[in-house]
Amino acid sequence: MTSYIGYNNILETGTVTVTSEATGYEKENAFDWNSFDYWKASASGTVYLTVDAGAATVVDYWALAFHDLADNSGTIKAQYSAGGSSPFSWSDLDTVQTPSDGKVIFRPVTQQNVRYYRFEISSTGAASAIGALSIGQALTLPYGMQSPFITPTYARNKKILNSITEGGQFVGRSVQNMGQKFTIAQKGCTETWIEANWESLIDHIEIKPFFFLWDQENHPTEAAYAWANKFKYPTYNQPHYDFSISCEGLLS
Amino acid sequence: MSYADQIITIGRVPFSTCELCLDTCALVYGTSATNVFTQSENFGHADWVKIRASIVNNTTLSPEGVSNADFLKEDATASNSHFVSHSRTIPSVADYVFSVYVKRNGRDHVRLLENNGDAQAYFDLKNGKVGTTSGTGGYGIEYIADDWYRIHVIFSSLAAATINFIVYLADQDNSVTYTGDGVSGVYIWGAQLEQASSLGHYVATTALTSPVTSKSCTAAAAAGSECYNTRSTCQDTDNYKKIKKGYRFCSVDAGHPVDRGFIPCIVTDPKFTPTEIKPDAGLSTRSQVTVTVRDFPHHDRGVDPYFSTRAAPSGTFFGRLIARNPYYIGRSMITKTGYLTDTFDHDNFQSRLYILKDIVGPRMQGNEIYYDFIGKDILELANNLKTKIPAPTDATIDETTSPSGITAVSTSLTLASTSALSDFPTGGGTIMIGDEVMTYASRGSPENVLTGLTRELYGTTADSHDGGDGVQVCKIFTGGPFDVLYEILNTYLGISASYIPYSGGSPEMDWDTEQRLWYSGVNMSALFVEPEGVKDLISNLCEAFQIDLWWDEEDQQIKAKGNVPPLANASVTELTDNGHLIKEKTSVQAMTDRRFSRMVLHFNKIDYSEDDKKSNFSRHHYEVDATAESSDAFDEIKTKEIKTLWLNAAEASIASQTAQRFLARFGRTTPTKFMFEVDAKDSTIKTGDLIDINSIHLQGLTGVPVSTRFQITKRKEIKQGHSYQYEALKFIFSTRNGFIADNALDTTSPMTVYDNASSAQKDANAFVGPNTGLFPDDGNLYVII
Repeated sequence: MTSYIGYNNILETGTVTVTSEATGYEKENAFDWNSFDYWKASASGTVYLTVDAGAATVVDYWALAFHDLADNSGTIKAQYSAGGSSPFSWSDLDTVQTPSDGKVIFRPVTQQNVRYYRFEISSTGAASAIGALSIGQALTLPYGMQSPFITPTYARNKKILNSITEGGQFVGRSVQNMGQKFTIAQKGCTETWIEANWESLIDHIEIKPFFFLWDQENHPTEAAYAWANKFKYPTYNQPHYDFSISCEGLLS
Repeated sequence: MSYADQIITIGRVPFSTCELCLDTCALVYGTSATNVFTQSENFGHADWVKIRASIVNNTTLSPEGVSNADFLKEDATASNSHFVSHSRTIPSVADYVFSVYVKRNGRDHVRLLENNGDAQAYFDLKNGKVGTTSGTGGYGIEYIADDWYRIHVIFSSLAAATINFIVYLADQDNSVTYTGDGVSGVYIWGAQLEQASSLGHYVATTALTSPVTSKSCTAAAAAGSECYNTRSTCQDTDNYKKIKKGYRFCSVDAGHPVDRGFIPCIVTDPKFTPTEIKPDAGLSTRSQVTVTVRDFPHHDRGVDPYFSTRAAPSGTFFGRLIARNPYYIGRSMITKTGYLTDTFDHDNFQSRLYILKDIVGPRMQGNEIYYDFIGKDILELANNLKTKIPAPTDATIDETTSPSGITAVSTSLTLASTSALSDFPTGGGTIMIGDEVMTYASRGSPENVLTGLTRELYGTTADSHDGGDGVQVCKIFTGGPFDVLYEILNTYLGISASYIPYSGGSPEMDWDTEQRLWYSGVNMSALFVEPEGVKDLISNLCEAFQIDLWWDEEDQQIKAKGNVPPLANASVTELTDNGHLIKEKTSVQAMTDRRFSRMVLHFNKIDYSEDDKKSNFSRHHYEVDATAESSDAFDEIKTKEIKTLWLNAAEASIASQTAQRFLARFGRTTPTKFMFEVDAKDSTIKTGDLIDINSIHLQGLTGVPVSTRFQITKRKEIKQGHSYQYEALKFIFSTRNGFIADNALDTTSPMTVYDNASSAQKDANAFVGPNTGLFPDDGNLYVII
């Protein structure tokens, strides 16, 4: 089992251009980590969102949440180009994805280290909304998820209200969906790992949401867009460290 | 699936949204725009050709917030198109942009087309999306506010020719050929055709002469120092062009819609304080809603139209919003509660309209900042301090030409030149000077002279009046009580006619029908000589005529109903312990303090210069329930008194009717309040409705539940989308009633005599009975009311 956190996003640090942008649906909305705004092309068809990282930059994942590709028979494909001052001869970073629903997508890919990356997005009928897009270097957790672990998929956080009449009949039920609630915990992390990864991880997730894939090998489609709401910072438990991150998140 | 379908779904997922419709400027900073269309807001004009469709002018509020948007309504023609078209001659090849503001009203789709090259685009007004397009140079759909969109199509290199620019109704994307239903269509406003390559700001036109009109923002500060398109930040106020801008928020619950423009920041269910009708106390109490939002950092995209020229903003979303929009009070606030489904659907939501009364905050709680949006119902406009009837006038007798004023027999007077002469109708009116009420026959020649004075009217005494004495215009209301209410609400409070279902609605809620059925023959002439608070006037009118008046925020209508039974053929819903009333949520309360044994109406005022004391009324109608007062019954005398200027001697029968209906409900037995909760599936019961309740909490003499009729006085959604709390007041109408049987209306089963009539016919009609006091089947006689 390999678990990933995707927070490094070169769209935030590089220069992003798009081939089409509808008024009011700016490209920045695609990578500002907000779930409520989005980038949208001015028309359906094939459009590109390209990032110039400024220099060769390592990428080994991309992720997407809050999209309506499925509503528009849409596809998305990540590509890379090794051009020096401008991109050329684009190669596929990943296979084309054709979502059948609005679920979060988290795709670990074969590592590349180039300057240019782009997404090719095709839609029919209407342009698709792209709400939260990330591409960069994923953080691989040292041990995967350790039991007991409630997976994001099963960590349903719902409030259920029943209506029962004076006569004892069941006449209605409402369900309030509060998202998913789960905890990412790691025990026995090496000091080397903590020193290499913790500060940059916490700097991001204390402020912004992130992507999470808990089991790449066995559950590659069970990804979540998550935000931390409570931390147990690394505790030294000689000779290792333990930490946990309590999260809430969304699957679609 | 509709909202009505959702509320009966097991496992429904409640969700709520809120929209603030604030003001913005329609102009783009430092630019001009042109419009070559004529009559851009008057689609009923001959310049707009209607094909298998019609225009109903000024039916609803436009994006300007004024009741000047038209309804483009399809006819019932089968398998054909329905549209409105404007013809323009294009002088030379150029790019043009065709745009219009639209809001769905039965039809969710429209198509814009030019019929020379047939370039076109379809628009989905329900989901705010562009549909099928062909041959265009671009297109777009922009959300404005209150479900209004501005849609546009760019025609590149449009040919030099006479071309029709057409707004089609469509039954779905890429389909304009269908069978109309005769009632559906879209609201439409503000069409524009501009020679340009991109959409410009809207310019209103009427009957244009060749070739265009233009409106410009002349402000010219450097980039980064533009306004924020709000009135308080405007740098060219002379050209400020107000239009609505909707800011939409939604619950922070999971599953909020992608691609709909909602910001998830509503942290708790909206708190509704419902209206409460008070059949025994005049005007209903106002409803209120409080929506709590959590503030957040925001990039300003979509809010500040010039964000790209400025440095990155600091602060928070609501902090900046309020700073830029200080004039938010009185603007519209729309809440929607409903249900999420796999595909977000606006039809799953119930909309409520309020007037934004305040934004309270910022309020720190923990590390978060919160604001409360507080909305009040539209009858909040009926405020004694804001509106008085008649409106106070500042007119005086002219001291220059009439330094000694007028004598007790003068038949003309001259008003001071500083007077607001428009307050004085030229065709005559009623005025009050000092303690004297008089009429004048006309005003004019010169325009500040009132001639044909008739003195000492309405119980007052003629007297001399000095130069400089104030002259107050009086108001006489005429017509039925619903006519008068309409005039007060529409004319004096400025409430759009679209919110008042005066006619054309359902028989149960149509004001005109209610007046015709239950207040026929009432043609009051009520005089008001001095400015009085409008709320007090409305409340007194409601009491005098036993009318409930309240704002229905869901139907977005002001409802008015008399204290009358349901129409004979109308069904009344019955709620039972088994099927409807939620466990441990029912209670019954005897309202002993609201029981009266007598009612006295004082009316027909004698001297209008005097106060409204009882002795200044010449008529006093006493209605006494002696049985209820007797020592064997309640053994108590309790009197309800009403002094009213709305009734004169000619309305004595109304005074009697009011008193009888009131005592029947509040005197014969102790008024009973029944409080209960129901599941959302039963929430279609609304305030003002009559219902029957069959519950163990309402037992008869033998202990068996007795189905009892109540009127809903209060309805509150207490758990969003899940449960509703009600209060109901026992309803008793004094007599068996019906309308005179009309055989011509029932040719299949003529009703010649009572014995031959069916039960339904007996319910719906009145029959002449025998002098025994009972019909042969022991039914009570009908009473003419």
